[in-house]
Amino acid sequence: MKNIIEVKSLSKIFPGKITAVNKISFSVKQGEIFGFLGPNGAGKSTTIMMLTTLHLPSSGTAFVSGYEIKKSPRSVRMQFGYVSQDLAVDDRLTGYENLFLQAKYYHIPNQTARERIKILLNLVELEKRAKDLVETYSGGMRKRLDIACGLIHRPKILFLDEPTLGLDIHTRRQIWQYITDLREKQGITIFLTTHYMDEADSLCDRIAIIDHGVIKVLGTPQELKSRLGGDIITLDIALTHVAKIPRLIKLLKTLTNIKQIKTAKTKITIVTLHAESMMADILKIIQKNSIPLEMVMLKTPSLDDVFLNFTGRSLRDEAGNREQAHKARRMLRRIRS
Amino acid sequence: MKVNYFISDIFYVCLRDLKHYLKQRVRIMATLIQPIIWLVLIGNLMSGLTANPLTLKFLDAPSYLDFMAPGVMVMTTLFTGLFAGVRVVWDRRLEILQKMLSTPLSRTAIPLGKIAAAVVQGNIQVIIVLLTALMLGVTFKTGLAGIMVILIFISLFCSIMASISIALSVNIRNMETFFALMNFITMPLMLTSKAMFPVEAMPGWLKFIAEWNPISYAVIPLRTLVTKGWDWTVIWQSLIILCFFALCFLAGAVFFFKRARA
Ligand SMILES: Nc1ncnc2c1ncn2[C@@H]1O[C@H](COP(=O)(O)OP(=O)(O)OP(=O)(O)O)[C@@H](O)[C@H]1O
Ligand SMILES: [Mg+2]
Repeated sequence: MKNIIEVKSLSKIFPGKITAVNKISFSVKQGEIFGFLGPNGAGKSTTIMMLTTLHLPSSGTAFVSGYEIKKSPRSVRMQFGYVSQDLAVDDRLTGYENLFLQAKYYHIPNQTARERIKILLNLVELEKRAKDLVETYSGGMRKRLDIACGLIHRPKILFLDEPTLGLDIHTRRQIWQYITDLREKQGITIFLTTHYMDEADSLCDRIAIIDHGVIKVLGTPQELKSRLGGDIITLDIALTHVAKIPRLIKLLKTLTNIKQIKTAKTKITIVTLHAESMMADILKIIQKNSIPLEMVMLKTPSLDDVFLNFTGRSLRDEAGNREQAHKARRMLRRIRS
Repeated sequence: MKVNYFISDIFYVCLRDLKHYLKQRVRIMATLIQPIIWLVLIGNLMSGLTANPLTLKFLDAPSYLDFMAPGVMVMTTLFTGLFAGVRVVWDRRLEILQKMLSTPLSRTAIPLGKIAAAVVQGNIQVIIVLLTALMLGVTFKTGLAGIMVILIFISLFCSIMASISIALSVNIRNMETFFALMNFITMPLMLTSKAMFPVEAMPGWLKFIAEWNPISYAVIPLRTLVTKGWDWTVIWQSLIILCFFALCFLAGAVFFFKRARA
């Protein structure tokens, strides 16, 4: 498949010698959902802002749908829709007015604009509230409106900077649904950033883990997890049958796809790439030899384990801080009205 | 096609700001009432002081109210114009500006659209002042045609002030700083101009400053139109100077806006 985004050795150094993004290179294929996963200050937003021509790169370059970001920023801007990390909707205007102005920024003729707004309002389920001031919208509604704004010109690429930050589980699911639908039905390429493991895992075709402005690892969620060795099956043999363990191991080793077998007292741990399909075979062997089992455990490494492995820290600890930071930002905005 | 897009960009940026303006009821009320207070209060308070032949000689006008009315118009415009930058600071703060910058919207059109919105607001407010002044008995020597010319002057002056405000706002991230800066500019600018007091009554050094103060270039032709009549030398001279300034400042605002980082 064709690469729709090509990033070549892109860097951003802010005044004060803060290296936000450090010589990253990667590419995004047409029609895929590509995710940037990383902790606070990793450089996710900065990367997106360079690709959307909001920040000028300090060095390196990128091509978005064939256009170079520094040489032809205007052509680049026609290619994508951008939904920023903060809720950048105009809360003094109605939902409809927000969408209409956005359409006019893309020079869409009025009649076409009206038709598209109708379709988009329907998509993000806001038809009933379209004539209300955004001030009266909930956080989730605002986000949905913001996403609709990013789609008004039918872009080839949609940049979503933390699309579900601060939303409840129901709204997050809803937004995941829009994202997968957009890809399935319209073939839009989606570039999103997130700090939610589950989001990256279930939504993205490929993920890049970014930390301190550097891409630590890139691949499909499955690939990344298998880099850690694979799934782990643990068998606990009844104490009365410990003697049978060596023979059992010999039998298990005849199975294909087993990467590693270890024993410790009554426990046998098996590392494999395809735990689910292996499980039946393993259990069959055990049954044939009539060995009673105390316990069977299957552990698939999570992206959190991957993250821990490649960055040396857990993303989970960061989550709390982020929610707080986000809340503080929302509060700040309220002061205005 | 390109020109069409550019004009459409200015129009929609301006439209958005005007929609915001029309939804701020309290602000509109305040800006409507403020000039009335200025005219009624100051005009009346000073009437005892100013209704003697000597002062009137200084003022060179039928009454202090006639003298003051153009000053109040210019001052109202000054505040409206200088408020334009607030919109830039807020839009940036709320990331709405970033969202606009990520669209094909012309980056020259954004400051121009915001200035255009300020000019429309300035005109609305000056019309209110004009009506108040008429009701209070100020006579406009040049009539309706004169009022049209007054609005042209107001538009030019407003675009100068809005340009200054936008040029200053582009690198400011918080409101407090912005307001402090605006206060720092307005007070001295107003008091050292010919808007409030006749230049003949000023000490030499102040007279010098007032001569060069941009506000004076807007006040003098307005005062001429209200209290004297069609004095073409004054009108043309001020018009050319204000046009020149307006072009320079508009270019400056666009330059600084485009140079600012997101
Ligand atoms: N305008 C700026 N000026 C200076 N430094 C900046 C600017 N924007 C970002 N940075 C710095 O660049 C680094 C990366 O920031 P960035 O916003 O890209 O991180 P992020 O991965 O999006 O984080 P988050 O998850 O908190 O949104 C941080 O250290 C930040 O302080
Ligand atoms: Mg970010």
